[in-house]
Amino acid sequence: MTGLDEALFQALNGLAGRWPVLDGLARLVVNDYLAPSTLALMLVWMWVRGATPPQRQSDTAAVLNAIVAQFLANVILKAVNLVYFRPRPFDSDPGVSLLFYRPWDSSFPSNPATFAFAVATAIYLGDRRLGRWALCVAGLWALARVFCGVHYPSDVLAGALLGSSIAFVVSRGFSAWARLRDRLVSLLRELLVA
Amino acid sequence: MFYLYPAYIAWNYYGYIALMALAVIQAAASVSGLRGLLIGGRVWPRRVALRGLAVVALLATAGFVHFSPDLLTPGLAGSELMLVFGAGVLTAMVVSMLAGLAGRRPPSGGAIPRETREYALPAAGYTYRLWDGSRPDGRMVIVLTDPDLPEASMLPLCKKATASGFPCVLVQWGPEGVPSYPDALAVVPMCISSHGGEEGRAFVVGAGAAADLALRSAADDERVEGVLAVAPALTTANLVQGVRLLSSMNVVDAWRRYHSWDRRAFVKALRGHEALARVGKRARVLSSPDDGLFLVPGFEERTHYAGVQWRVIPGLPHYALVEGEAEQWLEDLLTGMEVEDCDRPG
Repeated sequence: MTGLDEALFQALNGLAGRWPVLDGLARLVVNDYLAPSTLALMLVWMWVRGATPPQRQSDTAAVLNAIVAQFLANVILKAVNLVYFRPRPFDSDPGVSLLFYRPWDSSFPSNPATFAFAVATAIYLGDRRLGRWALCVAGLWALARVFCGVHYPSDVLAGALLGSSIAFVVSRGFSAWARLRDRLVSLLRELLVA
Repeated sequence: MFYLYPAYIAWNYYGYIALMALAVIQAAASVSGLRGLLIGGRVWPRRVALRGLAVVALLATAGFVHFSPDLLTPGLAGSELMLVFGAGVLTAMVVSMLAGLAGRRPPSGGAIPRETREYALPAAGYTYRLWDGSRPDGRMVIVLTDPDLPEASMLPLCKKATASGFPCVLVQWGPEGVPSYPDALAVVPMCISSHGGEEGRAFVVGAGAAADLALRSAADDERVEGVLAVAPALTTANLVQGVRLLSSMNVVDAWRRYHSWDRRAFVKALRGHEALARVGKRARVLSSPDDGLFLVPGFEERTHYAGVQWRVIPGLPHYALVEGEAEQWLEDLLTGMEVEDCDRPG
């Protein structure tokens, strides 16, 4: 497994530093600002765009699911980081082509992938069409993290699984949360913000 | 603790998010018809809105990347990013709401004509104006204004009534604008008795919550020959539309509609959906697609079999319903014309 992980990492990261255009695109995607902002702006879009009450209900539920899912995913990720630390690829291998700054926290599981897939999966479960775009953004961001040398493929895969599964459970699994969410939506409607 | 370092990236990111969120809100509000959030109140076609969003996104992203050369260095922490993102979205929302304030206002309908006579009944909580007319059959038109609309907004319907040869009574609520239940139920019978005599008959027109009052008055009083209900609430569930209210009004009007008086208690007490089924063929209802979507079970069947004539007009906010189609429907009601193509709500 580690061998496959290493091989995949080498294959992807080995492409870095060869073509300036590809490096530029990767840098555009990999930074901490654009991809998460795009996902969060999708939530803003969902919050406002509902034209009918059923769509509105579904959209607001999806947005709140995404917020709760990424919060829970972050908590679990921090807990995992407390008990397990994996060095970054550039720490283990000086030959890595690094196109990003050197993060100091644990490589496993990938924090950005966890966040992105928690949000994207919640969007997907609320709206398949928009969700596909969100999953594309999340996937590109995760891929760019490997390409730029800051994560192993298994890091982003674990992050994606963690984020997605928590989003799924929050969206479909908690009836208590669903009741609380509906009350929250009613309250927000009274305040004219939902 | 927030350090927001480097500060120039924090400011650039704030500007980027505020601009992007503004574009997203404008496009989404345009797609969903939320005029109260739109700059200039104009609803753009979906394709135009999405293209506009794409152009703004490209330019804003290019600008942000260009003016932030240190994007690939350790910058804002995750919590700081969330803080700045929230501030940017909040800014965009406030700008949208302020822009919506400059947009559409409820119709004024013009000035009240001087030839009307005003009857002030402060103790009863309302006054009314009378356009005189004489009909041997004692019929009249009673127009009830929604408490949150200016009384003049119903003037086109009053003019239509008088042009059709009917005396018209325009009811104006008290200084608080709050009709109380059950006192409000006395308004229509009192007007009929005062100006129509023993043989008095009336057509009643109402908008918004006053449409529910019109329906209930008709259900309780056989002297009401017909009702035109414009955008009635019918159930309290229809009042909790949240941000959807911004499709018809700006945020200040929407807030007032929710919180200035206890509209919910009034609508609940009137039980408009039950009254409508009882009024049956005497009722004509005009609504926008935002109305009638939360109806009690069996409501549609009951009103259908009761013969209610109902039309849902897409693309028009509540206020516009009072302005246009309602005049024609009132004329048809007064002349006994049947409506040709009725819709069902929902």
